[in-house]
Amino acid sequence: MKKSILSFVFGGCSLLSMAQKAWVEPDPINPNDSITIWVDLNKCLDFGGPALATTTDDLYMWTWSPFEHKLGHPLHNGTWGASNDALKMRNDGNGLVYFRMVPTQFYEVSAGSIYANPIKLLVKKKNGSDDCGGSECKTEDLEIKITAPVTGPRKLYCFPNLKTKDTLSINSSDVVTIFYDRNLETNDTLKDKEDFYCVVKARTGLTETDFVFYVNGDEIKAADRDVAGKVPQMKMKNYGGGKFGFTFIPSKLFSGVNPSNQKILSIKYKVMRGYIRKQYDWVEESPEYWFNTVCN
Amino acid sequence: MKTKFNILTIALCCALSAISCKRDKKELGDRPSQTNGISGTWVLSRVDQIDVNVEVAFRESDTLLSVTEAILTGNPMEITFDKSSSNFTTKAGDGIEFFETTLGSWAFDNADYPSKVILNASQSNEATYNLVKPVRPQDSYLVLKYNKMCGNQRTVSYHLWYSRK
Repeated sequence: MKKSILSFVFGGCSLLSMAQKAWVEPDPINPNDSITIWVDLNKCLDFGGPALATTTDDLYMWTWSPFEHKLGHPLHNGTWGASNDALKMRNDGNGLVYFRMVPTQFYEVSAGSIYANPIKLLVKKKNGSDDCGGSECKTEDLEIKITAPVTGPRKLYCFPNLKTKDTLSINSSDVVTIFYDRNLETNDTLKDKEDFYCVVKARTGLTETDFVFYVNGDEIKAADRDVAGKVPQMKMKNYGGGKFGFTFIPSKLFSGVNPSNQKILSIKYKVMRGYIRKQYDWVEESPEYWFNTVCN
Repeated sequence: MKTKFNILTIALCCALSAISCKRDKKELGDRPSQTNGISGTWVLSRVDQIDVNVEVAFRESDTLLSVTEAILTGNPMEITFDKSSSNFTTKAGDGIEFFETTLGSWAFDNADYPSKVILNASQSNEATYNLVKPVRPQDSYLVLKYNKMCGNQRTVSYHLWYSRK
């Protein structure tokens, strides 16, 4: 998502992306299909990382998870002094290198194993023992976790469904519906209740405080205990069978607290009862869904 | 002899009833004109949202959800199609955001077998709406499909249900 915001908002360089050293595309991936592993060497500051970011020498991937091939396998890492040419990375310029593979074929493991065990790698020169500014010519260990797709019943979800892991294809002027399936609730306090409110806030910037809201669902204060009185417009409709939903247009819903009409980047919500008596009167999770901010 | 007579009587009755039940041939008549059907004023009365990201749907609710309550909170928009001038006009109201162009010309993609309504054809503000179902003179609803695009990607669709005014 951070990478998406990067391109959505700033056309390629957001603050969030600064923290990202390695990632995969597309997001989410299909382990049985082609993916691209990207490494931004500019952000690999340990060992010889800074030197690798500017080198013109060939660079190689060295990977040991989810599976490390044994010596003699065509995709074995090679030796520290002489990497296997099959693992040579492509250079995209400006310190960005990438490697394309089909994960289940490359590692020769199941898709489940790809989800269970992160991809671990480092980037090195053919001879990792060469001197790169006083360190070995390698980056620190990098790890990419692959999140399994959500299947089956979900306690909290939205309509339209997420296009990627946490991002919608729609923007904030479209209708979005948040659903809560009480049948999957593990909090006993909520299991027989029906007075649910979807307390939503809208993100207008990338820091933790860049939200507009009527009530901040993540920080319910004593004065906000009467949720039903404070945000009656956020009452969830009872669809029957333990399912509740709240349908709204974010740009309209927040027009009263967003006078300068800042672009809404995401919505974050917490489902809770109409009157908060104790800390168990809300659903524990507080998901955030990002909008497509490319088009209005 | 009596048995033969009975058989003959039954056969005669069957023949007579078959003749009497024979239906008259009916003519199909002229095909209802959808140009006549769409002509008039329509009021937006229901909106369904279509999730275009669902790859496998087991129920209609996996891909379609009524969002009428979120869209129609006040006076609904209206649209009028005039068949003689081939012009359309709109009256502002809830749901007008589905129309980038609010007046101009209209046409079907095919006058005899229409599947689309094209507003302001061949102009810079041309907009196309699929007909979700036929709109004959006897139909109470006009259902248009609005596809929201981002570049050449469809991000979401809406079915706009209009009631005849």
